[in-house]
Amino acid sequence: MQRLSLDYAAGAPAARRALAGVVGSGDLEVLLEPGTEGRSTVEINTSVDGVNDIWTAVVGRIFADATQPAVALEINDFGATPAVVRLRIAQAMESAAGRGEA
Amino acid sequence: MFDYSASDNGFRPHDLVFADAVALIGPTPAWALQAVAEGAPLVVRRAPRNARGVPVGVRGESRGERHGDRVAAHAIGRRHAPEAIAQARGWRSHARRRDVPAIAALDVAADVLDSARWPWGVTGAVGYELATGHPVTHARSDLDLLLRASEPVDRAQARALQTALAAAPARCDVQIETPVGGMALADWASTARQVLIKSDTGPFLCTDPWDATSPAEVSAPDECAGARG
Repeated sequence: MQRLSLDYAAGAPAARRALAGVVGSGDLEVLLEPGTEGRSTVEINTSVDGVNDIWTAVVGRIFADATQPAVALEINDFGATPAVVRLRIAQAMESAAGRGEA
Repeated sequence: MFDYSASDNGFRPHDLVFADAVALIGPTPAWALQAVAEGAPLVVRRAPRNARGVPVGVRGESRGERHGDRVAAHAIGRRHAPEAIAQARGWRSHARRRDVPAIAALDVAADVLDSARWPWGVTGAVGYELATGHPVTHARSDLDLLLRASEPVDRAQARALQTALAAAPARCDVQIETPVGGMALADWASTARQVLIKSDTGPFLCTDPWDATSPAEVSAPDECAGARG
């Protein structure tokens, strides 16, 4: 089990909490809470060793836009591919913005 | 383009197949060549189907050793489909069932899934071990299962299955295979509006996992991939 912490400049706090993804092979769980003004944080727990660089690149691209809502993400990864990571984070962000409601 | 029956030569994701190491199209790392030369099966994986061969994976000794390759369909000999592994009921007399809860969990899982009306199978480490006798599971392994639902499973039924499987002595991770691709039972049993489908051409989010037309329409953003809803 590896743990990785990342943070990024962001805009105003997200509107609400959100949850996306599932516990299961090749997937991940994204728990989203509103962040503090101007800063998004991402905590990643992964069962896969040696993939910190990939995570940093994939998540960095998602949070490149510093005007996005500030969020605090906790990610529990079970060997998801970068494409699955991007979709699940996007799903959580949409849901937190009130557009991807359950 | 997502219809497996039209594109797969009969080989479907999660099938275990056997082929000579020399039939791997490669490039193949030395450990994978050796594993296959020693009789390791290949696991059919999700990837675009093309004339270069069936997409397969090789499982190494350590968790990090996973290799994606291709093999010509005509070079494939024996095949174990996940359903065949389930029908063989090999877990009932398996020597390691006392040490590996995921193997013993098949008693509960078989009762639950037999009560659903779809064919089901055993995949992942437990399927691999039951098919080959090679001990790849451990005390904390999950039980990976597949349910082949050619027509919609309603979400209430998905929740009932998920709840019933929670009684098993190991975590059960069921993939529902629809004509469009694979989706986690846990996802379909949740309240999420969109669910994640893994298809041969990559993953996407969708509201109807049995509708093969909606995900392919990139002009229909309300249906797919991180779109608003």
